[in-house]
Amino acid sequence: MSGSGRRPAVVLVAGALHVGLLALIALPPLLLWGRLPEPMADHWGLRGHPTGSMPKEGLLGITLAVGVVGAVLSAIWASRPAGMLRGAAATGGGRPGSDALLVGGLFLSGLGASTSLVPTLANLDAVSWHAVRIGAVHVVGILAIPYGLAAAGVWLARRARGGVPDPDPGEVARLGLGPDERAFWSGGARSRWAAAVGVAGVGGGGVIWLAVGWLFAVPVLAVAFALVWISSVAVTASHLGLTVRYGPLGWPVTRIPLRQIRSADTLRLASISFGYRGSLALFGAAAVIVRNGPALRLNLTGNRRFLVTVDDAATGAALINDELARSGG
Amino acid sequence: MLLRIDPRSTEPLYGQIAAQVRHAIARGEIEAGDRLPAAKELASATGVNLHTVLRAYGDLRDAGLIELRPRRGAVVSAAGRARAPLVEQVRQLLDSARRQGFTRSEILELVSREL
Repeated sequence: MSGSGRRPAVVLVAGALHVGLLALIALPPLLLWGRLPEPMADHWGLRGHPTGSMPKEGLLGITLAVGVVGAVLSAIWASRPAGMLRGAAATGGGRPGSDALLVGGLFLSGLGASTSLVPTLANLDAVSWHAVRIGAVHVVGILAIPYGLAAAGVWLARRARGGVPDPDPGEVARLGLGPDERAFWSGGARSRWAAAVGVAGVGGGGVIWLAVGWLFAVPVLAVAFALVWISSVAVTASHLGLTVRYGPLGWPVTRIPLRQIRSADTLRLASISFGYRGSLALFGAAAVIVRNGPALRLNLTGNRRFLVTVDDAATGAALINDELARSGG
Repeated sequence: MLLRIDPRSTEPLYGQIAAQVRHAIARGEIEAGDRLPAAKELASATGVNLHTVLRAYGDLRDAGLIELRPRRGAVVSAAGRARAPLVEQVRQLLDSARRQGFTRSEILELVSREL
């Protein structure tokens, strides 16, 4: 079944998920209303002791609002035409236009559900909010639901889009630089879903901080900032070597001098292995994978390897190989 | 985006840089909101004077193709992405006219007549 054929089914599944999540936000506190203290504990300290409270209506209202915003984002995704693969020939991996809306929407609704369900269960049958304590399982629950749903959103979005065309033949052509010519190549790669989940996580972490407490918010914010950091890379190549800058701030910076490079080639990653893996210094191999599709691979001195997903990887590899030939490397 | 600088070309270095960035915008290799390489990095990598790169970026800004933002550097403007193909065609037209020996006033008269 083509991508466009799968989309209606994916929209139905996403819609059912949101209905379920809104029910998960509202029903437990409503059904257990009489068994919850007024006010409810909603802030906890580092050791799990309650440090703050909120009226039951307030907590329900905030978590419902977060869940509704998430549902609205997914509804906007569903209302758009099937994602256009903008500049697929240039980017290789394609850039689905609005999948981030679905992923961010499911993340936010999941966040609303977890921040409603977990405090409800923690406060159940407590005489007073002062006696409500939480443990590690509650923190895991707060995180697992939204991030699990975000991962489901990525899978659903890919199912809806179908296959991605493969414009990169994997051949590395030489640039044929003249003897006095200088060249500079720049490319980038982005993961919109990671950026969306990261940004949603930062916003959601702020809401959690205010509504439930910093104990739950810090892990959410840490993961969210890490996702935003690894959601994009900017890569440049010249006679000096390769430079990789991470995230929207372009920091930190990985510089690989030309003298450490033996050759460059490209390959096409067929499946997502998202993130920064390995270490050049410790393990002799590192990979920066922001999306599937074209990647630039460097074979380095000392049998080390470095790989980074980047658009137009073939041109970057060709430039490096030309400069190596000119430098006698 | 690939930039190739040929010091032996008769075209000034800043003109080569600006032209290639313009081509890249017109072809859609770089999109509105994309950042151009930092001027210092580009100058260092190509062996070109920093002020030469800044002049190229200044020309692109004057043509409305990029914006120079504090702390963010040179960014392709939304208007620039839309204008770049037309600017490219105008430059090609002017190059062709100059090669055929038309003077500036003759070119202006031709264009005015067609407007």
